[in-house]
Amino acid sequence: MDTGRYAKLFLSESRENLSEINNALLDLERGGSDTAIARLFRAVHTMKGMGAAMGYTSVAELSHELETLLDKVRNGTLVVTRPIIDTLFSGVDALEQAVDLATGPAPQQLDVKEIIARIQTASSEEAPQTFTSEFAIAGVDKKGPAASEPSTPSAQKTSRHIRIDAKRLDTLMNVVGELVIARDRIAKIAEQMGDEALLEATRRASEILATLQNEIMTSRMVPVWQVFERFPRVVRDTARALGKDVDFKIEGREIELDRSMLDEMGEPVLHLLRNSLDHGIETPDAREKADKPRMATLTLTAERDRATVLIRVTDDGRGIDQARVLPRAKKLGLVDQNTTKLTEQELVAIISRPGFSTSEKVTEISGRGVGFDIVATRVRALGGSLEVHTDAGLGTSVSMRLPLTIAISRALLARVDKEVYAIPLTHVLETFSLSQPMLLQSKGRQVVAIRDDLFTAIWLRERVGLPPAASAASGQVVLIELAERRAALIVDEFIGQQEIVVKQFDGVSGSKTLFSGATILGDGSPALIVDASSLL
Amino acid sequence: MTDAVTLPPEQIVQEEPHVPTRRLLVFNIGGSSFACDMDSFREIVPMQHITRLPGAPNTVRGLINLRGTIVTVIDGGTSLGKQAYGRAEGLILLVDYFDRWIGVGVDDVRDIQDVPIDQFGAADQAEIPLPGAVTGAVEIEGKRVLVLDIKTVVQQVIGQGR
Repeated sequence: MDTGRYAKLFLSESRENLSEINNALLDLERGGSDTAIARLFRAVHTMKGMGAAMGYTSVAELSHELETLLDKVRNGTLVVTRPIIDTLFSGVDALEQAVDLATGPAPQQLDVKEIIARIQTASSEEAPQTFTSEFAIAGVDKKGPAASEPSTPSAQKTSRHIRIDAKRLDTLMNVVGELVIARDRIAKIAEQMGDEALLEATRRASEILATLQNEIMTSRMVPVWQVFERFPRVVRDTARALGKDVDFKIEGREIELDRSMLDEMGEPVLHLLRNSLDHGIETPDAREKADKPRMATLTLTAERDRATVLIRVTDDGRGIDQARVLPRAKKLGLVDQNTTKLTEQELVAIISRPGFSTSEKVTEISGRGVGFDIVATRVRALGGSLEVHTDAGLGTSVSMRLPLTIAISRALLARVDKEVYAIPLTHVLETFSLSQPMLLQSKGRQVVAIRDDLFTAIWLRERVGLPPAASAASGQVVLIELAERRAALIVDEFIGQQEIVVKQFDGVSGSKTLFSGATILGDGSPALIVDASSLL
Repeated sequence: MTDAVTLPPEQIVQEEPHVPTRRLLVFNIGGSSFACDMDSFREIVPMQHITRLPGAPNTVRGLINLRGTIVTVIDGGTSLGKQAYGRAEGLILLVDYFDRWIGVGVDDVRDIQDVPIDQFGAADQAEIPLPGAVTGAVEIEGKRVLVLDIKTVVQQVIGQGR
């Protein structure tokens, strides 16, 4: 039991050390100084100690070899060359794998023989000239202690921070979420009773609760760099693989976001960065022909805007060429035939269509689009929105606007038979009462006619395995939308809207796909949250 | 897990040699009795409203709200290849499962027994359709009762979950 707890601690500390190693390596690669080597050495040494203490032999042995190599670099017997840097990067990757394997659900030790042999070979290469190494020894010895001092200022300050398991904060947030639900219920009862004193007391409790909620929300905020700091390495590797020259900048790394939101953000941001590198940014030669600097600039920015956070990926690449997207969009019937210029909203709508973006031809000519729908879907699921600005030839900027938290959201509560399900409001466009004339057949399937449009009819009853209602044409319709796809979800009755706290549960295969989580209703019973993406 | 109990000398020279015991929880499902190590259970709660989990097999009953945490409840009966437990009455045994809880619905808890470890006999794995779930058998009140590793039972039904 205890080793499990230490394993978690080990994992979180390793993550910090590994990203420190990666960043120091990037510094070293950019011609970085002895400070970078000192940082590297310290972090690797820490990993070695922690690995050995936990009995993770692969981590300890690998760290040991890296340390030996770094030691030679530090005392100047080894000169930093391209192959040495590459070996170090590979070593760190293996170290990361070893950590993941050792702390995974079925702990095992990574086979590190091969990589260790590689490190040993690299480390046994002698410095080309004794003259150089002597010189280096002299230089490093002087700078060594001085260089390591400024990088440990945190140790000198008396820290007023404490380390808390993120789960505790999650629990607190959940409990507050439930208080919010309970408050709604009390408020409703107080209103029905019409008791002035009770109403007043309820209002006061509401105010205090709002403060509490705000405080806990704030304590869960973490700076974006915690996720962003792994990107420089990914950008470097991708750019190298694509033969592109890129200056990657991160701005606003201290901007804070709710932990749960930040966890979800990593992947979409990575997608956008890869998109920029792959399709937006030109090769150095192509850039030169276009009168641009050979080195492209890729910027990742975080910015706070009122109650939202903007995360933006900007490149100075070739941009999205409207003249080429437009005919394609017309052909697919996505825009009116007379359209001459797409607005930016229209452009976003078009390129985030799954069918559009996966089309190879369009990807090739538009220079963008692969996986864009994935980003759009994720951002939408988080209750955010996507904005794209592009200038043909000059670059593209994609912004994700996100709420500060996803812990509490609003949902529509709907009943089918005796069961209640929650439908997240982020996916609800409109609601209607169902009547017989609205139900039609089109191309062999049942559709619901709303105004001039037809939407595929989905009976929630059927999806959750209940027998059909006595009358197919009774009930309520929820028009749901996800990444430009829409459908009419039919339920028996609406119960109302509620702030819900999303909780995870242990599903089993077959039951997992339909629901994105569960929440607790005002009467204390659990209700499942319908995952709109599984319906469409 | 420490069964190395240091006893005062006068107790060691007693006639009966001291045999360590295992504390077992004996429960009934669908007319059969089973026993599990008491340590595996966190808590026993009365049967309550269970939200059905569409798409799940009949070995899974659904979800309960345990003081604000959503807990998945499996059917002890169907999971062990027996009848489902009775619906309204019955109990939910809460099992520590990784860093969370899983409920196991049973009809009734019969007893808590301290059974000396030398009284544990072998049992055929095939008596239960879940491989590795049976760890042995004991005789309780003249009746043979299968001893289960409840975590294995849960794991086979739920998988890794989440």
